[in-house]
Parts: sequence; structure tokens; C-alpha cells
Amino acid sequence: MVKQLKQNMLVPFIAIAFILLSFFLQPFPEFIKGYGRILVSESILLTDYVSVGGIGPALFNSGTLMLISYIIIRKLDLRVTGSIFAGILIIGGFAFFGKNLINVSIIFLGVFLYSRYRKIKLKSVILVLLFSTGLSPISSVIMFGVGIPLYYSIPFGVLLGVLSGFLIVELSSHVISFHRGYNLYNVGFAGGILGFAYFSIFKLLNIEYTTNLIYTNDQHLLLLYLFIVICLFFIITGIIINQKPLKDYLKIIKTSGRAVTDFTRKDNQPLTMINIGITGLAALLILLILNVHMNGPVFGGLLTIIGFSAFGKHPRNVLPPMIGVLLVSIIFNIELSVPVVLAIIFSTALAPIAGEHGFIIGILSGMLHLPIVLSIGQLHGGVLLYSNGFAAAFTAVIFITVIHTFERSNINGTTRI
Amino acid sequence: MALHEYKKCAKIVEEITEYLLGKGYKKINSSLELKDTETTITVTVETNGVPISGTLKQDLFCCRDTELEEYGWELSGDIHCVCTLDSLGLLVDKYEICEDDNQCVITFHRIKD
Repeated sequence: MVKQLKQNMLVPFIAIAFILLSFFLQPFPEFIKGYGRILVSESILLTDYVSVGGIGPALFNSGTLMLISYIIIRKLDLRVTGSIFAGILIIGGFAFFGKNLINVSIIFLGVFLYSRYRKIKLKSVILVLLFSTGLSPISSVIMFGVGIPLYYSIPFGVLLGVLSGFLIVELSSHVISFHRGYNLYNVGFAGGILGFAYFSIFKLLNIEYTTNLIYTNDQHLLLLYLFIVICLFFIITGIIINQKPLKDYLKIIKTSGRAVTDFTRKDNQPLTMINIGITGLAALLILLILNVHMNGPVFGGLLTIIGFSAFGKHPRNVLPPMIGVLLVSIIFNIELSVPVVLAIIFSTALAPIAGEHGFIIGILSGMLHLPIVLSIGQLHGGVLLYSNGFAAAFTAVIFITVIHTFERSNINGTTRI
Repeated sequence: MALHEYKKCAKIVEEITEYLLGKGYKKINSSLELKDTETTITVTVETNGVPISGTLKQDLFCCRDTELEEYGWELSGDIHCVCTLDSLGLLVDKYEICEDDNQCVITFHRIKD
């Protein structure tokens, strides 16, 4: 039992719980209609599936995508490592605002075809397969959002989605050296490059669509309690199955979290579960202090934080960038709109900077992140869900360059080591 | 064969070399041999009585991780504090250390898929 829990990191339990819960939240015909609306939604940033289809279908969408991802992992004879856990939770999180069974399957197909083309095992590119779905809206927006007849739009949307999945594997492994692992949402950066190219071509071809700002705070309490229960579930399970001294948790806290740091290595799954719960609650606390209401994107963002709490994030490195974004919004009197709240949540992509260089530098990185992320949406036109991941790469490069420049001058101008 | 197999082998040499240089060792020889079933990388360090094996065993946790390897192999060799060899641990299946008073021989094994 303990071995199984360590191998699945509670993923199937969360997925099945979401699916079961989803059936009890509205009448069945309404549920079917809502889920249908989600599937044919243009899904462009920012489309809250709780608003589009209702809370039940949104939970069902998230649960099924996590379960399907988990089944793929098991079929490939893999266990849920920290990185895979992050990949599954990022799908589950963004399934509240942009990912659905149709657009995710198309991207998956692209990555699958890439593995066949290169004659490599699918499991060697499984991480990119999971993370690559940030470009899912590219298919949905072309199929359902630009107003061309479906017999043209569907093949074109599928083609672009497959192409994205095909290209992103190589791209993501190369661009990681751009920010040197200081941006945890690396595939967001790779996807941003592709998204930028697509959006530029769309403009050239006069393909027009509008970005969205659709969300609802109606399900605040349900989503809030659900998130708290998930965090407590991880903490309690982690404590029960943990056989190491609890002080070993400090070893996780001491790491910088720079990619690729998998907390589950060295048989550390229980302590990782504790970290997942604590980090999730810490992030939630910041949002509650700000009186932020829960909706699909905010809940999805928090799920992403707990996902990456097995793959680089912990309270010591996530809080500084969050505080940094918050400070800028206060100093410049920026309204706490959903995109700004998402910037607070996803600024945690920069956690490794705070983890390695300390609290103050971490806050400063968050302060730079907000203006960059608020501008970067114009580059990809909303076809990239990981807009913050795209922006964080630039923030990381700027910060790391400055830090290393000053550090080098202290050490004889040669190298940091 | 895994994607970018040759580059990954080169990265192993890069990372261990940078690690040892960072620890203050001045004379390091490395050799690499591609065999049918595995690649072996042998690194010989002149220690001059400053032992390395204990620290290395602490810093290096070998557990080949195929999916993580493909995702983050480009970062191998880009170590920025001389404390861990996480990326190296993802790329190799096992290692052996043979140390005497003046030199240490480290052999890494990377089994072919």
C-alpha cells in the first residue's frame, strides 16, 4: 500500500475524486451541455471553464485529463516522479482554463508522432508530452474561434496542434539553456516562441480573433475548500507513510529548486507530499490575505503550484517572487485583476532564483516579472496558456546575468566556481 | 540509442570535470569509450592526499531517469555551486570509485537503451 502511494503520488485519487464530485453538482443534462461547451470552446487566454461549462464539467474535464495522463504513465511502465507529478498537475490545473480532451489529444498526437519519427520510446519524451499542452488553444481557436467553416477550420486546427507537439520536444530541450533552469516553466518559454510565430503568421494572413477575459467567482467557497482538502490530504498522507525523520524536510527547503530538481528522488515521496501540502497552503494564504476569490484560473494556478512542489518549489522559494509581484502592484496601484493574480501565482516559476540567491533577490525577480508578463501577451495573442512561463524566462535571464556579472567581479573575473 | 546520445556522454565529462575543478583539483584526465552495450567514462584525478571519494559519494546520487534526462540534459555541466551532481546522476546508471593516496579513479557507466 505504502509502495503504491509512493508510486502514484495520490494522483489517481485526486483525479477520481474530481470526476465523482463533478456528477453531484448539477443535473445530468446540464452537465452534458456544459461539458460540450467546454470541448468546443475557443479556450484562448483567459477562458474560465467554470464560467463556460459550470463547476461540474470543469472538474470532470480536469479529473479525466489527469486520469488519462496517469493511465498513459502507467502504460509506459513509469512511476509518478516529481517531474511527472508536475506534468500531470499542470494539465489538471489548466484544464480549468484552456485545456480539454480535444485540444490536449491533438498536442499529444504531435509528440507521439515525433517519437515515432525519431524512433525513440515515448517515455523518453513523456515530460515534454505532459508540459507541451500549454499550446492547446492553438487548435481550439483555429477550429472554433476564427469563424471559418468547420470543414476548413478543423483540419487546419488539428494540423497546427500536431505540428506544435511535433516541434516542441526539440525546442524545449534547447531553450532550457537560455535561462539555465531558473525558469521552472521551461516549456512555457518554448511554447511562447512557437506561439509568437503562429500569432505573427495569423496577423499576416488577417486571421482575427479576440482574446478573452471570461471568469466567474461564483464557486469561490467550493474551490477554496476543495483546495484546502487536497493540501491536507497530501500533508496527512505524507506524515503517515513517512519513515524518515521529519527534520529531513529541511533538506528539501534548502535546495534552490533549480531545474531539474526532483524532490521524489532518494525515496523522498512522503516528504515531498508534505512539501506539496505546505507549499500549496502557503500560496493560498497569500491569496486569502489579498481577499482573492477563487475561480477556474486561480484554482488551476494553485494546482500548478502544488504540482511543481514536487519539482522545485517549496515555501522558501515561492513566497519571495509572489511578494515581489504584489509589491509592484501596490506601488504602482495596479488593480488585482485575474491576470495580476495569475502573475502572483505563476511568478513562482522564478522560485529557483529566490532559492539560490535569497529572499531579497527573489522579491526583486517578482517585481520585474509583473511588467514583463503584462506586456508579453501581445506577442503570442493568447494562444499560449503558459504566458507567465514565457515571461519568466526573460526575467530569469535578466536577473541571472546581473547576478553573475557582479559575482564574477568578486572572484577574479573568471568563473563563479 | 537515446536522442543526443553523444552529446549526453560529452556532458557527463563536462559536469564531472567542472565539479572537480571547482573542488580545487588541478590535474584531471578523462577518457570515454563507446561499447556495444554501454558507454564508460573514466576520470583520473590527482588528489595529492586530499581524498575525494567521500564527498563524491555524498554529492552524487545515481538513478538514471529517462524522462528527466531528455528534458534537462542540456543543463548538465552547468553547475553553479560545487555541492551537487544532480544532472550527472540522471545520466549515468552506476559508478565506481577507486582511490589511493595520490589519485582517484572514477568510472561511470551509461547503459545503452
